[in-house]
Amino acid sequence: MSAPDAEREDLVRPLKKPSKEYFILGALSTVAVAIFAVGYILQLYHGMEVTNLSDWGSGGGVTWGLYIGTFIWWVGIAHGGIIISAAVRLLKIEKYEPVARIAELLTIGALSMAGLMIIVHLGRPDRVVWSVVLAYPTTVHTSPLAWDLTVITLYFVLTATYLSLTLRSDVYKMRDQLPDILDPLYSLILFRYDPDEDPVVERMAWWLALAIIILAPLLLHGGVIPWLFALTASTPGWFGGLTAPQFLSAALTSAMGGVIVIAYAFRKAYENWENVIPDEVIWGLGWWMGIFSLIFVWLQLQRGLTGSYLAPNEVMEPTMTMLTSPIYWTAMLMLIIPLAYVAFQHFGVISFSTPGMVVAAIAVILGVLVEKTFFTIEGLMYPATMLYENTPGNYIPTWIEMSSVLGTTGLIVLFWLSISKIIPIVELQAIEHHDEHESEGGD
Amino acid sequence: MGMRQRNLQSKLAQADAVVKQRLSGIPVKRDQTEETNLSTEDTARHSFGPEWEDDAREVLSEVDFDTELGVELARDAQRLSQGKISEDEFFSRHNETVREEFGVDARPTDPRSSEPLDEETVNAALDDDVVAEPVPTPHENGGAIGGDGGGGDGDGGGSGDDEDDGFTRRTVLKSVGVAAAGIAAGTWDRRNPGGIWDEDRQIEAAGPNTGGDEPQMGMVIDNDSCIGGAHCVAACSHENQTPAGALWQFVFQFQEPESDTEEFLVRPCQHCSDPPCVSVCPVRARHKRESDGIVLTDYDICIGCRYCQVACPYGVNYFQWGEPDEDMWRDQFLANHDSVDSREDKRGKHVAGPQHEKGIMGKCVFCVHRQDSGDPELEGTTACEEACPTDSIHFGDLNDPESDPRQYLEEAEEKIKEAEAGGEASNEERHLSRWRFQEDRGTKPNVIYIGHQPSENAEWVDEPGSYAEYPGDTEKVRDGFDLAPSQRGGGD
Repeated sequence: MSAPDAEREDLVRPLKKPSKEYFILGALSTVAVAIFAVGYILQLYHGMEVTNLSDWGSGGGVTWGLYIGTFIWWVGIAHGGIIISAAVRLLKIEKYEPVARIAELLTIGALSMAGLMIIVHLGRPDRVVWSVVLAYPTTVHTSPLAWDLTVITLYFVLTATYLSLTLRSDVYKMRDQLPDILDPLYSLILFRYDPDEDPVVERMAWWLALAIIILAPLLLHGGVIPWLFALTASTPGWFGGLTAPQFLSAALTSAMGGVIVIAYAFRKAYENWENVIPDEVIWGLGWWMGIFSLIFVWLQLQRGLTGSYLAPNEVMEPTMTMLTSPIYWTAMLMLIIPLAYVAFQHFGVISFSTPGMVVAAIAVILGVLVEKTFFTIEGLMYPATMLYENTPGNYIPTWIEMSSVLGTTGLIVLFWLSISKIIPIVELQAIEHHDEHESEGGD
Repeated sequence: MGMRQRNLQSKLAQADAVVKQRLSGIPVKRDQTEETNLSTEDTARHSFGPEWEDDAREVLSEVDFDTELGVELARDAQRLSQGKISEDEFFSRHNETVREEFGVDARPTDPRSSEPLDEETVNAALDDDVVAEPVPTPHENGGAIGGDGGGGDGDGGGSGDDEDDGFTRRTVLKSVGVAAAGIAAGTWDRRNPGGIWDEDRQIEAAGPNTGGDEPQMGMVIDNDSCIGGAHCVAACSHENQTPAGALWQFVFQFQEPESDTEEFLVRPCQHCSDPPCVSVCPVRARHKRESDGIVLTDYDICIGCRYCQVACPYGVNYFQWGEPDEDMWRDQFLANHDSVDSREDKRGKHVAGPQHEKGIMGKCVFCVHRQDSGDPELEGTTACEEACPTDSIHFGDLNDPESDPRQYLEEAEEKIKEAEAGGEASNEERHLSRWRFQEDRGTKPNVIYIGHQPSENAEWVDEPGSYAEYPGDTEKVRDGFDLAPSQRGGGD
């Protein structure tokens, strides 16, 4: 049985001198980001023609493609992350406290990537601020994209507030163990900090969590993001009431996967972190990942059946394409196999393995990316106006488009490498509670 | 049991009729007796008891509008749904009272011909200090009475200060209308599950799609007389110097599965009265010009998100994917126009001509530079209209009965009626009718077609690229077709 001080030492271990592996990972991520940067500069220079996007209709292509698929993917991970963290705080689920801040940081990182993907997708990114701001009072009434920008901003603010509030007491308590070089930053974080504020901050965080949990199904991935698609009746593949639940379940699945991967990386990288984030947390996250992917797969079944039995032509068309597409089935298998893996573990058919769960998590995350991109493309390939059907056209993303997935992933890794050197990514409270459990167990 | 069977039979008959209508494009007369039969059953289930009325009165008494009127409207909506009164009766019954109370009656008095009033008229009739906003559809505002009414502060005396207790005249007007519509929708109109007047609007496809006297430019296109020469496509391309592949004007050549006849469908932008592209635009670059209802893109504001293209059901939007050849563009444009300034419309907005900058969206602008030219020779014309050898395209103000399109429509009306009455062979096969493209999308398009309406099984039969075989200035068009995305992308 280890003393609390020793565990506190574990929490600040990532903030110490970086290892060789740290630099290798940093270098690889930088290369990925550089490839993306070169691609984007080419796009700015030549225009969107460097993509394989095109006009739907007589142009025979799709006007939204991998960029938008990647946007949905990141925004889903972000929204799922904040829901996990809010649920932990709201319901005071002590077991998952070690991953609450990881989920918040994942949200901030992934939400930034989602915002970046919107910029990358635009033909005229130079105009985005003024054009959007000036028109905002009008467009917010009617444009789902304006709603989208609103909620992304809202959630960024909520998450950042959340993080900065809960960070203060930790930084205060652990300040002597944090790197001296960042003292000015810690002074800023601790601006007018008073230990008496802790209970107040706890209440505030609780209310913020409540707000997030209430708004999630209404405005986040169960609302505005899927509404970008579900409200356009001209694309039957997108239209409908099932779109939002599908988005939300996919978001939660991929966010659970994201937290598992990050938690595992830190456990691998730092000594004694398997006690900071114990197996039972990974196991539990995996279980929830399975539940949400089960819901997602079940919703896919609903869509597939209603869309292919006696559906109107315009719905039948995209559904049949979906059901006969190897890309779709690849995505589904990337969700179904991990789901089966989790279920077998749970029923004791196979034994629990953390690396196995990480592989399942990675499969699920990539499965959601493939499915979301497929969803985007398919909707535009099969518009309600079938008169355009014979227009030749296909869509295979160019390397520049593909580099956006690579580049944003690289940026996320760099984000984690940096943030873990600045603040403790697991709350002190988590190991204190954890410790209480231990001693209770010991009695 | 007998009753139930009869109901089932008549439902089947109706479904059959609807299917036939969909397939043929010809309106089907509904059987009045069956209708009554259906509507009179289970009246009890829908009747509003004293409890409901008390609740309604309580809610309505909190707003400073006529409680009786609200209750009566709701009751009549109920009768309508039960088939006790006709739609016409329902809409005409309270017209006077509603006008008195609200200064305007936004409900269509004749469902066969009316459209909801345009925004200006409604705004003008309401308080000046009320912020103008689009009149919402029932979906946007469902349950507004219950929600708002509960929050009233008991100041039932009608203080006149609407804003204070969270009401404006507008919100109340909305609420009453929505309540009536909601009740009617909630109890279902068996004859027409799509809504009270949707089907009639389908049948009565012609006529302007906006109310009021404001001009609404639009087109009447006689697809029946179109020969598919694509002169309009070439002329548009030339006049507007559109980027290669951007076919602002387009001609479908299609065929019904069981027919040998090749049909045409000329497809400019439909300049809708309820354009989804305008609604979704996050920067208000896509907008509807108030003075004449032309839907335009402000090339200086557009950020190139392409949501307009995604939301438009007609596929009329074309993005500027690459850097256009500025010099070539300039020379060609100046060959047709006085100066490059003519890219600005009369409001000084950069909306005309080609979207010559990369990364922004363009589409048919109804040759807005011609409309604003001040030249009587050019005003009221479009390049495609001028180029059409068969005079199939008629451009003008749809709200003006004397305009070319409206006049042509009247003539065509005769042609359609004759064809129907005489059972002319061609019409039997081809179902000549008057219609709007994908009107069921709710966009209120302002292009009215005469000819065969494509069924949902219609297929485009033309091989892209074969327009090159047609006479006219097809070079540009061919370029466009050759630019399929598979050949276009790739990095340089």
